[in-house]
Amino acid sequence: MNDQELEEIAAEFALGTLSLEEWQEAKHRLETDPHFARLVSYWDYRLAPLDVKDGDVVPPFGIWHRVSNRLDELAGTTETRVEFHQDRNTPDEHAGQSESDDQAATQNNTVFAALKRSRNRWRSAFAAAVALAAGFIGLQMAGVHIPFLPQAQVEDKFVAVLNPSGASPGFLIRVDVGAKQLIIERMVGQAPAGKDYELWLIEPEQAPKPIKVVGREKVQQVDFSQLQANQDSAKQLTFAISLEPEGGSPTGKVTGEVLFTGALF
Amino acid sequence: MSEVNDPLLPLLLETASGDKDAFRLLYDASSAKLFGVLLRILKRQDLAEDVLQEVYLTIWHKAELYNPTMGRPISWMVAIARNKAIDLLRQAEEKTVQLSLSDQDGDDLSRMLVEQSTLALDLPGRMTLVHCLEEVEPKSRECVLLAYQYGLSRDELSERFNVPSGTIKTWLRRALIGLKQCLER
Repeated sequence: MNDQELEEIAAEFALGTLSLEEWQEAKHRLETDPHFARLVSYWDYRLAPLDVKDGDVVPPFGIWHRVSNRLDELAGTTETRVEFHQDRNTPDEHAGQSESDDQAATQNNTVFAALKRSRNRWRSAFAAAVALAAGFIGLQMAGVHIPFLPQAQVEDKFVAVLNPSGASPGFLIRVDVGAKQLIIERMVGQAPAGKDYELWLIEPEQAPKPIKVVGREKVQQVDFSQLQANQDSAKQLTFAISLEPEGGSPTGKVTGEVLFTGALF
Repeated sequence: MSEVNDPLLPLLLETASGDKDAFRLLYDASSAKLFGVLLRILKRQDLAEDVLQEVYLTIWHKAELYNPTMGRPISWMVAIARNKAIDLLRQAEEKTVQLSLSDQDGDDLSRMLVEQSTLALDLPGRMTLVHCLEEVEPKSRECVLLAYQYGLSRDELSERFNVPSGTIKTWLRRALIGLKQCLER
């Protein structure tokens, strides 16, 4: 498709005159092609002045309550470890429909994007910083040394402590949103001979996704910029470590015992 | 394009940071506009109410994606509303549900087109857009406006103007590209 055609489709998409089939195709493209999304956005704004001035109609009063209740519901069902003031935790509206296939490498459903969104929300939530500090203090008291992050960077960092049933940490996962790096620190002994630890990402109602076979080094890093997640909020992401045959799970699914799990906070 | 003293701007930015109180104020300040848009396109109060709810949930979830340098908050929100309404319309057409434009709507619109001053153009774009629309061939212009205001599909426009759907497509694209060239001059 050449530039002119793409431009015309973007314009007609914004105008709304595409046939159902073209419309569906364009909707999918909108989610997967940032250039196309920009073209559509251009047209959305350029056509906006065509809106008539005198067409306002006050909606029935109940609608706000429906919106408000839905937000509360969505927030309530996903509240987990820490209560965040006015947080919102809902899957991206497109996740799970046009992008039910994990292949759709969209910019918006990477773990990185989810973390960035969460970070933006947390910025206004003072409670997050407090919770993070409390988490660190808890670990310090447990005799685990964790260097404090500089205050300015706190909002860019997430931590998951992977525990076996609440005992001392097995692994520590730090997420550096700025550098798009996942730092995996092993707090327990090496895997037994012939076995490897493997790190997984778990989202609600999804099969665990393999992230990395954890090697022998105590601290390791993974670039997670392309890691896909269907969740809008990092708070719905859980990490797990399983014990797999050497070299990692042969099937791409968890085959061994899950030793440690933990959620981001 | 963004206007410094647009009252919706701080509300949308606060909404983006998760402030539900600001979101309530944003709803109060913009829901009549969006409901009007939805009613005009969908024609049915019940559908417009359902879609309005979805529109505001989307605004809440996607507020962070709003880019103030691109245009005004209301333009961004109207685009979301139109998109959702048209999405529903196209699916409904597939199921042969009739949500068609009455003749009276067409008459109203014709009057509106004559009185171009009723177009709610935002200040910087106002004169430019009127000027650029005038350059567009009248039938093509009417197609663009009917599609924008009422969500008419190519097939509906084809029926209305009694020309093949392919001709409508040509008219629309010629009009849109002409509009773009004019706006960028």
